[in-house]
Amino acid sequence: MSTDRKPSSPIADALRLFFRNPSAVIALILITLLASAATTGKLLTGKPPTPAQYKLMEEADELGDSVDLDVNPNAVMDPNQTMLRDKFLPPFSKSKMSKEDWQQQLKDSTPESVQETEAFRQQLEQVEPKMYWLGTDHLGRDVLAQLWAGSSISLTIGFLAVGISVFLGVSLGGIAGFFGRRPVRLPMLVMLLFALMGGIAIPAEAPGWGLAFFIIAGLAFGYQLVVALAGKRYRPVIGFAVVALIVGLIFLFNWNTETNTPEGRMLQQARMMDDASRDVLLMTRDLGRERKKFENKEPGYKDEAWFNEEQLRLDVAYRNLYLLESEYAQTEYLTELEKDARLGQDLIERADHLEAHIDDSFNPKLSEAEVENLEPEAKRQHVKFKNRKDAAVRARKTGEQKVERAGAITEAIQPFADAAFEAIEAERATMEFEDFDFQDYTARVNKLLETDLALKRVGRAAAMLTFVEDLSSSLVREDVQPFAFGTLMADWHKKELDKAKAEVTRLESAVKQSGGDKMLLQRQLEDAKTKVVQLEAASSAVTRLKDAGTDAKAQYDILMESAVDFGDASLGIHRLMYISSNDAEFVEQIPKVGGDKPEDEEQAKLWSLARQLRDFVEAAKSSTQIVDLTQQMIDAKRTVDERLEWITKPESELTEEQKKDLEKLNDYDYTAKSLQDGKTRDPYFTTIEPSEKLLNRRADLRATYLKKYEADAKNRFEGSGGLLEAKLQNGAFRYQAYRITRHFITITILILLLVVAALIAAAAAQGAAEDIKGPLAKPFIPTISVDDLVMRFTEIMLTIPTIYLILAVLALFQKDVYIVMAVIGLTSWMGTTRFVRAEILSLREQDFIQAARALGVSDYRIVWRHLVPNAISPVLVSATIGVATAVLAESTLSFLGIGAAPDQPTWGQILSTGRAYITDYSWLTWIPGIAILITVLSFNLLGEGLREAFNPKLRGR
Amino acid sequence: MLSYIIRRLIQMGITLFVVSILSFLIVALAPGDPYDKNLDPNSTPADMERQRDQTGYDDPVAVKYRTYYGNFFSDLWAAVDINFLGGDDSYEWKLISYRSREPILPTLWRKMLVTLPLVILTTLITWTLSFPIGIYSSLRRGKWQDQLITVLAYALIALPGFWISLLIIQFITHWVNTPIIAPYTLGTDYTGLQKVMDATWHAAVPAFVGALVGVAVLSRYVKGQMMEVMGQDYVRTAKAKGLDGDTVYYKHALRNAMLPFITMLAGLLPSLFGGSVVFEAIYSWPGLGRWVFEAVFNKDVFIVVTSLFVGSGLTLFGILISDLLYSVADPRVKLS
Repeated sequence: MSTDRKPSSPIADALRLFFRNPSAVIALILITLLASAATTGKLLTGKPPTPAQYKLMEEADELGDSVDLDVNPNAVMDPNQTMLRDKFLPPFSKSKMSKEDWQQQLKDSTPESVQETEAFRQQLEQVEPKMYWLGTDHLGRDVLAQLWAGSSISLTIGFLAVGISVFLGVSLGGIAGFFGRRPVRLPMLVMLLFALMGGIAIPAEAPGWGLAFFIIAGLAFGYQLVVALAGKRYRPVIGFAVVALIVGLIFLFNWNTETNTPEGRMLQQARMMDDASRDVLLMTRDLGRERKKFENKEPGYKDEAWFNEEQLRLDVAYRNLYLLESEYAQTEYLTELEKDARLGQDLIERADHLEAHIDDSFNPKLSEAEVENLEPEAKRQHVKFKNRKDAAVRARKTGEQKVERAGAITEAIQPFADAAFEAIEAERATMEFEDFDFQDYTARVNKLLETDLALKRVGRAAAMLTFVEDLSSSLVREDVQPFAFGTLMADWHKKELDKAKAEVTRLESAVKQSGGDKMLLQRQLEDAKTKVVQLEAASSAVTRLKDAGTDAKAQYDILMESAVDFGDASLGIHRLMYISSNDAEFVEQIPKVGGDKPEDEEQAKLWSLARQLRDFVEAAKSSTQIVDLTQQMIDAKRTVDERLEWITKPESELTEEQKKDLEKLNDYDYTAKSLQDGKTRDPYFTTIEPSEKLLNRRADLRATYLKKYEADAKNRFEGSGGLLEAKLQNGAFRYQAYRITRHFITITILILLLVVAALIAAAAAQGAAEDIKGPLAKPFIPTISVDDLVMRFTEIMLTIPTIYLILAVLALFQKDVYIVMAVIGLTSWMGTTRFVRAEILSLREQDFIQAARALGVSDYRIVWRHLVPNAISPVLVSATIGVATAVLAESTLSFLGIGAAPDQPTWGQILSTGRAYITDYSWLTWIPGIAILITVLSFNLLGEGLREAFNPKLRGR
Repeated sequence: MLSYIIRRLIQMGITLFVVSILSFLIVALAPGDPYDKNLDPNSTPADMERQRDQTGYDDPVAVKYRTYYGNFFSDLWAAVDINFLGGDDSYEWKLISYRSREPILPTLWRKMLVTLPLVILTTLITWTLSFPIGIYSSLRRGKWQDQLITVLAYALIALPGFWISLLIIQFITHWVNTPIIAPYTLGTDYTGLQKVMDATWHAAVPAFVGALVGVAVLSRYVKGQMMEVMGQDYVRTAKAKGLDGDTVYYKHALRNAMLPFITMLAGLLPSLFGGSVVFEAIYSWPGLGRWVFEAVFNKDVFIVVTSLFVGSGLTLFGILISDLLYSVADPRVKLS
C-alpha cells in the first residue's frame, strides 16, 4: 500500500475493487443482458393483435378510449402461440410449415392499411419459414419466445420478493439494532399484544372478542397519540394521520363499492347466505348427534320434549333460510335489471362519445354515387365517419331499449318485490324468538294473518316471482311458440300458394296457345300442379297448427291468470294449515275445506281461498305442469287425511297394508301420538327426524346451499358478464380500481404501511413521555426491551418451516405468480433482520456515531445520515443474493406445480412442462435449466463481488 | 445450567404456543373441502357427512384448535406410553387424517423412517465432503485450486436441484439402465445383503444430489472460518513458536474453526421436514415431504398442522441442544 496515494472516496475504491474481479464483472454483464432481455421481453413478446383488433385499437386511439384486448401491438414473438404442426422441433430447426402458411400468418397479423403498401409486399415476398433457435415444445410453442417472456416475469418476481423482504428485514433489524436497548413501555406493549390477539380472534371466528381486543389496542394507541401531541411530536402523528387517511379512503371506497353497486350488494347477500346456511348446517349436525344418542340410548340422552322443541327450532331455521333464499333470488333478479339499465346507460354515453368524434365536415346526406366520386382520402374519411355514425345510432337505440325495458320491468315488478320483501320481513318477525313460546308464536302468526294484506302480498309476490315465472317460461316454449310459428308459416304458405296457382294458370294458357314443343310445357304444368297440391296440403296443416296455437295461446292466457290466483290460493291454504296446526280438530277439517259453518270471518276467508284452490286445481288439470305441482300437494294432504283416519284405531283393526305403512311411518310416531292427544306443536306438520334423515338433510344442505353461496360469495365480482361488458365501455374506473385495491398484494402493502406509520407514531409517544413527565406520562412504565420484542417475533417466524408455510399460503389463493412473489417476500425477511441488527449493533458503538450523538444530533438524522449509508452495502449484497434465491424458489414452486398459472411462461413452468418429455426431447429441460443456472450464478457472483468490494477491511488496497 | 435449561424450555413453550396458533390459523383458514374429491365411489353424501362429523370438520376454528391439540398431545403421550412404558397398544388414535382416515402420528413416524435414511446419507455426504474441501481451499488460498473450487461451489449453489435430478435420472436410466426411482426396486423381493445394496443404491443418487448444494455452501463456510482463525494472534504465535504446519492447522486452527459448526447441528433435526419435498417428489420417495405436500393439496389440514408444529418444535429443540453443546465445547461461552 503506497502512502502517498491521494485519499479517494470509498465508493470509487469499491468500484475499483469491484472491476478488478473478473467473475463479478462477467456476472454484471450477464445480469445487464438479462435485465435488458427482461425489459424487452415485456415490450416485445405477447399476442400480436389481429387486423380487426388493430382496427379497434386505432379507432379507440382516435376516440381517446382505452381498450383492453390483452394483446401487444409491438410483439415480435408470441410465447403462447401454438403450432401443432411444429411440435417438438429441436433447436436451430426451421418450421415445417410452408412459405405460404407463414405469408398467410403475416397477413393475418397485419392491419389492412399496412397491407396495401409496397413495403409490405416486399416484406411478404421475403418471408421465410420461421427459424426456431431454441426449438419448440409439445404444443409447438417457440421456446425462445417463452424464455424471453419468462425472463421478465422471473426477474420481476425476484426483485419484488426481495423488495418486500428487504423492506421488512431492514426496518425490523434496524429497529432492533438501534432502539434495541430501549424499553417497550406499557401502552405500546398493550397496543401490540391486544392488536395481535384481535388479529388472532377475528379469523378464529370469535368476532366479539376480536373487536374488544382491537378497541383496547385502539384506545392504547389513541392515548399514545395524545401523549405524542402533548410532547410536541407533531410530525409522526401527522404522518400517521396522512397514511391512515389514504388507507382509510381506499378501504372506504371498497366498502362503498360493495354496498352501493348491484354486484356489491349481491356479494354481501351471498356472504349472508353463506353464514346462514352454515349456521343451519351446524344446528342440523348438533341435533343429529343428540338424536343419535337418543336412538342408541347412550347415557345422557335428551327426552322427547327437548327434541320436540329443538326440531321446531330447526324447522324455523330452515324456513328462515328459505326466506333468505327467496330474498336472494329476488334481489338477484332486480340486480340483473339494474345492471341492464346501467349497461344501457353506458351504451347511450357511448353513442354521445362516438358522435362527439365525428367531424363537422361529414355530410351524411351524400349519395353513394357522390361518395364514389370523392378523393380516396376523403372517401375513407367519409366511410369511417359513416360507420361511426351508424355505430352511434345502433348503440343509442340498443341503450335506450335496454334502459326502457329494464325500467318498465322494474316498475312492473317493484310493487310485488316490495310486497314480497315486506312479507318476508313480517314472517321473519314471527320467527324471532328468544325463549320460544309456541303459543306466542301461533298468536303472532294469527295476528299477521289478521291483517290479510300480508297474506295477499305473500301470495301474489311469491306467485308472481317464482311460480308464474317457471310456468310461463315453459308454456311460452311449448305452446306459444307454435302459435307464433304457425301464424308466420300460414302467411308464407298463402303467398307461395298464390304464386303457384298463378304459375299453373300461366302454364295452362301457354299450353293451350303454343303449337310447338308441348312436351316441355306439359311437364312444367304437371310440376306446377303437383306443387299446388303439396302447398295446399301443407297450408291446411299449417292452418291446423295455427288454430292449435291460437288455442294454446288462449289457454296460456287463462293459465297465466289462474296461475296468479293459484299462487294466492296455495299460499292461502298454506296459511290455513299454518295457523290451525295446533288444533287437531281444525286439521281434520282441512280435507273438508268449504264446510258450512266457518267459525269466524277469517276462517271463512281462508276457506274460500282454499275452495278456490280446488277449483283451480280442477281447471288446471289439462296442463301437466300444474297437475304435477299440485299432485304433490294433494298427495301430501291425502296422506294426512288417511293417516288421521286410521291412526287412531287400535292396531288389530288395521289392514296389513296399513300396518306396513305404520311401520314405514314409524318416525312420524310422535306426531301421530300428539295428534291423538290433540296437542300438535309444530306449524308445518314436521316430525322429529331420525338422525339418519338429519344426516341426509345436512348433506343436501351442503351440496345445494353452502357450496353455491360459498362460490357466489367468492366469485361475485369475477364472473359477472355485465361487468365485463361494461368494462369495454366508458366509466369502468370504479371496477378497475376496486379490483386493484382489493388485490392481495395491495392489501398487504397498505396494512404494512399503516402498521409502520402507527409504530413510528407510538415510538414518538414513548420519547414524548420522557419529556412531559406529567400525570399523562405515568402509565409509560418500561416493560421488555425492543430488541426482545422484535427478535422473539423473528424467531417465531424463523421457527415455522418456510416451505410448508409457502405451500399452505399458496393453497389459499388462485395460481398467480405475483402472489407467489409476495409470499416468498413475506417469508424470507428473517435472515436480513438478524444480520442488519448485528450490523447496526456494531456500528452504533463506533466513534462517529458516538460523536454525532454527543453533538446532540437527533435519532432520525443519525439513522438516515450515518447508519443507513454505512449499513446499506451489506444489505445490497444480501439483496443481490436474495434475488438469486427468489428466482430459484419460484422455479422450484412452479416446477412442483404451485407457482405460475399455465399461461405465465416462467422458467420453472417451462421446465415443468419439459419434464414429461425428458427422454426424447431433452432440450425442453436443458434450455430453461441452463437459463436458471446462469441467472442464479450471475446474481451470486455479483453479490460476492459486491461483498468484497465494499468490505472495509479490503479497502484502499 | 439446570436453571438455564428450564428457562429456555419455558421460553420454548411460549414460542411454540404462538407458533401453534399462527400456523393453525394459516392452515385451517385456507378454503377448500377435503371431502370434495371422494375417494370411495360407493360412499353416499351421508357417509361423507359422517366422516366430517368424526373429524370435526365443521367446527369453528377455535374449537378445532382445542380439539386438535388435545388429540395431538394425548396421541403423543400414547405413543410414548406404547413404545417406552409398555402401555396398551390397542389405543385408539384420536388424530386422524381427513382423507385417508389413517392415524396421523403413527403415519408420521412411518414416513419419517422412509425419509430418515435419505437425510442421514445426505448429511453424511455433505459433512464428510465439505470439511476436506473447505480446508484444502483455505490452504491453497488464492491459488488456482482455490479459484476452481470457488467457481465450482458457486455453480453448485446456482444449480436448481430438481433440474439436475431430472438430468441425472435420465442419464442413469438411459445409460446405466438401472432404476433409481423410489426407495427400492419395485417388483423385486430381495433379502439380506441384496436388499441393503438395493436400498443403498436407491438412496445414494438423491442423497448425492441433495448434498451438492450443501457441500458448496458448507465448504465455503469452512473456508471462511479457517481463514478467519488463521488470521488470529494465537495461530501466529503457534507458527512463531516453530510448530510444524500440520500441528498448527489441524490442532490449533481447525479445532477452533469448527466451533461455529455446532450451531449448524441445530438445523439437522428440522431438515427432516423441510428439505426433502422436491427430492421426494422427483424420486418418488413415499416420505415425509411428499406426504405433507400432498396433504396441502388435499386440504388435509391436520397433517399439515402436525408437520408444521412438529417441525417448529424440532427446530427449537435443535437450537437448544446446539447451544448446550456449544457451551460444552467452548468454555469461553457462559450460559446465562
